[in-house]
Amino acid sequence: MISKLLSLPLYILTPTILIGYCLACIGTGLLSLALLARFLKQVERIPPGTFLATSFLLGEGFLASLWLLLALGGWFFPRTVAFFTFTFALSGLFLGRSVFVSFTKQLVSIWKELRSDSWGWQLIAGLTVLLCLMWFTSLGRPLTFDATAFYMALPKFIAYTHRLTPLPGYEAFTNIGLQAEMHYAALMSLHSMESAKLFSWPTIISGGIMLASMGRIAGMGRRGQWLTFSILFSSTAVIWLSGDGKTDLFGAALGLAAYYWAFQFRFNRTIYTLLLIGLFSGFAFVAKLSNIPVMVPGIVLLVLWGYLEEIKNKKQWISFLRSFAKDSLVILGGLIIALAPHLIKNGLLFNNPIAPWGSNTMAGLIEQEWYGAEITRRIILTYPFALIYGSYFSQYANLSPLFLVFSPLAFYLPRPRSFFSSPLVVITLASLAGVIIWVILKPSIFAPRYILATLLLLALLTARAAEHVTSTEQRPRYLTVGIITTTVITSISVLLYCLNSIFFPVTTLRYLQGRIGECERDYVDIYCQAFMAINETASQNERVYLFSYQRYWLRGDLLQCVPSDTEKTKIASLSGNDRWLELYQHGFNYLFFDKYTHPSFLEEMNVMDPPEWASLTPVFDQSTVVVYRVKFYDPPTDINPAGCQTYPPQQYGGALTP
Amino acid sequence: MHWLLENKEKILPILAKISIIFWMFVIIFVYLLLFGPPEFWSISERLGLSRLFQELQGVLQPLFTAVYLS
Repeated sequence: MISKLLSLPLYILTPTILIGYCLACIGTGLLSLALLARFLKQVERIPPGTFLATSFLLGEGFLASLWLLLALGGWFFPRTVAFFTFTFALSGLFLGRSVFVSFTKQLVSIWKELRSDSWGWQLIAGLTVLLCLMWFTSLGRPLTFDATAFYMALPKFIAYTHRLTPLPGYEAFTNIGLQAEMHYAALMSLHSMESAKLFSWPTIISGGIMLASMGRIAGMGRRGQWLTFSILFSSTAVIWLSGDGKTDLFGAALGLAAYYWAFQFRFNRTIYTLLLIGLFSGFAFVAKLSNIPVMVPGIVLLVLWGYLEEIKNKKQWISFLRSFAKDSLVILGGLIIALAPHLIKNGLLFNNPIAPWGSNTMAGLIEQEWYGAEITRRIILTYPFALIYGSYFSQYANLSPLFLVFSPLAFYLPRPRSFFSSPLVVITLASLAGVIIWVILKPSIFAPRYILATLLLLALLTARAAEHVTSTEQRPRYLTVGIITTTVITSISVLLYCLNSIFFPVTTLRYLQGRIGECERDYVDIYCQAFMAINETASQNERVYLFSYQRYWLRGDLLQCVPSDTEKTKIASLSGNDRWLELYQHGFNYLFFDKYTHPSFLEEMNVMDPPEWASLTPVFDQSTVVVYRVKFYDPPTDINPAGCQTYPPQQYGGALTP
Repeated sequence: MHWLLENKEKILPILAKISIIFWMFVIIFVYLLLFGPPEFWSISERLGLSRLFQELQGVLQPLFTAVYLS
């Protein structure tokens, strides 16, 4: 039955697995919340959409932790993954039945409100929903360079081997948090690489709901929430991460959930809220390490804001300090629960739980410098314009221009009775504190995706200001017309700009119908075809030496046999016949040259004139990629070539074999 | 700006409105110059403005672009 289910056409299988897996996340989250609620007897009512988004993101965090522990133990079998997914999905359906009904009612009420609003707001809402739905068509988008090097290669490696070990060639890099990668691995294990590609979609929708819910706390109405979603989905920094296999949106969505619960603390001062702050913060830190310095000040500020009345009264300072210390311990408890699997992973695999800190090989990751002093100064001086207009190295797209468009409207907001009593002021300060700290700590690392959760909080001020103006402006309503026009222009231009660069409706349709394969979809990458040529000719457990960062399309067994960091370092240090001899001793059968990223190696290896005891046969030679099969005849050494041990020893499934 | 709202009740000054609308469209225009879809360029070509826009783009783009380790 399972094999029949898995052999369903992609256009049925992909949405089924994606929806089922999302249900499993919701189920895991609801189970955790039910456990907390029973334990603490404290569950406050929050809107059903926010409750579902919280459950989904919490479940996402816990499920990734479960997958991580299973994979560390070598129990990441497809049956195990399917069992847990199915069980949690059923739990989600059962425990969430009343929430789903309430959520449907909420959607109907939003629809009714929208229908009674003006056509301009209906257009904004329609375009925002369209931009969100177009995300599905990023299934037809080629995978990005980083994803085929690591972010999708590691999950494939885990799904194939049923265990987590450092990815050969990226051993040191495997010490980063694997929040998204474990979900990708689970979905690949369920034979749906397509769902893995799309999983960032429900994740950021949930993040968006958390953001809009914060808007509600900050006094925002429905129009403001639509504008918040417009800003979110017209930010190319968000949608550029769709369907490309990168993982940054997971940190953003979990970070927004952490901010939401910290923001809630003032109104909902329970241990339950504190635990959620700790859990979401921990999951967000694992998903994106750069969240740590940026989010901590904001979270602390929001929690302190919860004690505002006590802080104002000097007589209550002692009781405040006592409560704050106690509550901090609860947050710390949540944080430790969320971080523990990651720390265990790094402890077991790298003997350093806090890696990449304290890891010599990963010092470069922490101490990055992207630009010299002059460019860095220019970036800092042009904040926030650089965030909207920048095309810097590795910036990976921009924030929505609506951030800037609506910013002067903030002057029209009524002055709060007291500066710190305004939720909008406090959440904006939390965001600004994080951004300023990032600029101080990493001035030359200019990439919105690194601090996305914190940056997106700024959308609340701008959206709230725009909403306030539209509801208070007297005739002639020039500003209202301006707000609607600029939002519509931005949404349409982003949609058109992303068509055939991020959104590929035709390719997606053809891919789902099975009319094109993975390589034709990933047409920009010649790598897929080159790796396919190797996959077709290579025997089990043969070794491919990669003068390239790419590896995702390699067959599962071959993926395990690419050179390790140590081998690469040693072989790169040698030259001439010594290098060839080393290749022989390490048992390499193929040489993969990527002339784009490793231009010098083809010449250095002198492939046209190898030693007389080595013979090269071309396997692939197109564009920037050249692949040779290498055979050695009586080389000048007594050492026998090393083999490659792979997991599992037998051929696995075949479905994961590209 | 607050005194406008508080003291003049709900009357928003026309001058402030015009300045803000000007700001809004300038921001969007610059965004379109840098990240405008092909349709933006075909419309500007029909209006005979594409050359001017391209020159503006040529001035703006280097202000927000840099390569690794530059």
